[in-house]
Amino acid sequence: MCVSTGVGSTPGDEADPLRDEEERALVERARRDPAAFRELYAAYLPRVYAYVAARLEHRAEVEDLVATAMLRVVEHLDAFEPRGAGSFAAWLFRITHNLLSDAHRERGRAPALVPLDAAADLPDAGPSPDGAALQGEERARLRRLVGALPPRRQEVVALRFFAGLRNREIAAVLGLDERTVAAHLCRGLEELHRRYAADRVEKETGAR
Amino acid sequence: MNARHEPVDLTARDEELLATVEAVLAGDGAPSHAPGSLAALCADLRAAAPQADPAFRRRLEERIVAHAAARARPAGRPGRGAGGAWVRATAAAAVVLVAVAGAAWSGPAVRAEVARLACFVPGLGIRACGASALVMAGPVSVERDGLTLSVNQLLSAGGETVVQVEVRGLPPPAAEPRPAPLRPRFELRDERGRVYAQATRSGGFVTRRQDPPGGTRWVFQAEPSFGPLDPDVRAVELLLEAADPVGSWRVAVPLVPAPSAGLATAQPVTASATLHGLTVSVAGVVADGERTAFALRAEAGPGQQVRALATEGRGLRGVQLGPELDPTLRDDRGQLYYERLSPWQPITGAADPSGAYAEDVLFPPLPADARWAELTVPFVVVEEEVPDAALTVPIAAGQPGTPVPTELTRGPYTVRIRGTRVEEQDPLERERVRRVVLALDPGDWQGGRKLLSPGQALVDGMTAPRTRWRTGGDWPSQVTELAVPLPEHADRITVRFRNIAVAVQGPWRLRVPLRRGP
Repeated sequence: MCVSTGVGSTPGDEADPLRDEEERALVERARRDPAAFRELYAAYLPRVYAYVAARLEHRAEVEDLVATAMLRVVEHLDAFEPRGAGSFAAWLFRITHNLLSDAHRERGRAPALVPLDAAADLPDAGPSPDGAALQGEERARLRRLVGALPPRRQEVVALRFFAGLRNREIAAVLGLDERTVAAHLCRGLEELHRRYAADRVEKETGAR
Repeated sequence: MNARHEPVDLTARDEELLATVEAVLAGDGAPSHAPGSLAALCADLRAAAPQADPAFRRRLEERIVAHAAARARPAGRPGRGAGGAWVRATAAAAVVLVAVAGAAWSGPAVRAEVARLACFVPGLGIRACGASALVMAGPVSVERDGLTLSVNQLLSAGGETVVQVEVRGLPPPAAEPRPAPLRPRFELRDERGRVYAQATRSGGFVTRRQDPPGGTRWVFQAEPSFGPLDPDVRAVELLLEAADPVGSWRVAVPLVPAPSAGLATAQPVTASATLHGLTVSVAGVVADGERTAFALRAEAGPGQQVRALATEGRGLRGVQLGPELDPTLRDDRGQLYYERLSPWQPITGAADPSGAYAEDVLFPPLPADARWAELTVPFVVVEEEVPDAALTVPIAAGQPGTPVPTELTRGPYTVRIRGTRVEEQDPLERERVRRVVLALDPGDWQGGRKLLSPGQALVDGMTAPRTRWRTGGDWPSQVTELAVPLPEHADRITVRFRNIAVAVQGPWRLRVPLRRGP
């Protein structure tokens, strides 16, 4: 059933006053105090790394691009203008997104997510708090399936689940409308769900 | 940013799924998810987020913090001011070779102690060289497969270690296919095995060098920096890893304490001239049989920051533009000298956080009995705070229309937009980047001031990578074109201009007493 939902916020883009206030305070401290960059780094490096690792093939490339992005943040932090909730994360990931686009353009091909071999090589976030005891191989398989999604859906899923961005922030990074982001996320997850299930059945069948 | 509106059809099921995603990502005590459900998939996805290797995290953290500290450091070797790159890009408009980093010595504290602490370090300029400073004992070279790696300079002082390194004998880069990025990485290791990670990205590049007689050599040059070395270190190993044709290298570099290295020491000087509210001063001078070097400082009043001292001709490497555009030196017999640039000397200096500007200028040696010399700085480039101005260029069918407005007010100056066009590729680049080009008429001299640039260009509130300024007209050159990358599907571009770059006509004349060194 298709229901018209009108114009408004979608789940996943609500402001989180505490998080936004912390972010703003952290950025302000880092502007004045270089040592505060450690906190900024600790807060964002895992998210930036996870996003980049989902979009580049080789670990050396991932590390190089992550380093470039973080150094660029240091270089340009003075030019950053807070524009409301989540604007720093959006700014940081837009820098990263632009570097990724450049990297893919340099190689003259469309962005592709992690292929099977490389996906298996990447460490992951460890046991899920929900108790979903995925083994490393399973997680690599899941990342590979994300890589098989259409490019825009790959990007949105990676930014939401690996980078931890809200839909509003993803919209700012990609230059999309929030509801378009939400739609890409839903379609991407549904497609991923189908493929994940089919892949698992195929694997179990083949194992017999 | 222009949000792109694509067809959206969110269903109630979508809303439910989005709420599930939110709950899973928030980890807010949601019940365990049924195997095979969408919620379980979301939980699995969350757990599958790739993680960085801990060693990489630590290495990068040190680099980031060191880089942030270097940018904020008021003394020693200051980082470039965050807001000034666009001004320097304008001021160094005539640049043919791009220097890799500023080598200016700066800082009020250092200035006050120039006699005791500053030396002329070949290739780097006048730099702090206190008791704990280390410098390389002499140039070091190693050869392999027809290539030669040379460490031309290493200085550990003022809170950092700077290395100048080059690899000669490279083949000419192929036009097609485009060579892979070199991605150079550097590391220093002292004789006790302590590793010093690279603090700043080196900016290494391959350049063509004309070597007499008539030869052309392709050279990779880089100037990586690291944290300070322990003062009792006497040798380090430099590691360079880069893609072919540069390749990987290791070279041992013997070190000596700077005070025993026979470096020329700087003589403290108090000489300054103030004009149009801008004060140019000499903090120190090194005059010996090989060179005459000055440590210059320039300071402006509120709302202004000095960004360059007469840099117009510097990139031309030996081509003299004349005393109206080049810094010059005249000795006490009336002999005129033009600035001399070493291959490593930067095009411009650097700004410290207080807004003061520091730069070295280098001239040929003067007669041994010269008692004084007059240094002339013909013009100074400043960044001025003025209210922002913005214009919007409509894009239809991939082509730009008439911008709104067609004139920008930039303080006392008016910049007219002469036209717009789309270019598919910058003629100086191999990579194709589609840009909207704004043709600008920035006007002429007004009361001894000339607008060089309408300001830092911000697209959607941010500096846009791959923005290009192009200059033309009489020197000092002005920005006559601004080329901004054109995002796909954009229906308009809004460019906001912040601050302005202005050339202020001098000259500033500084009479400097000389005391010859050995």
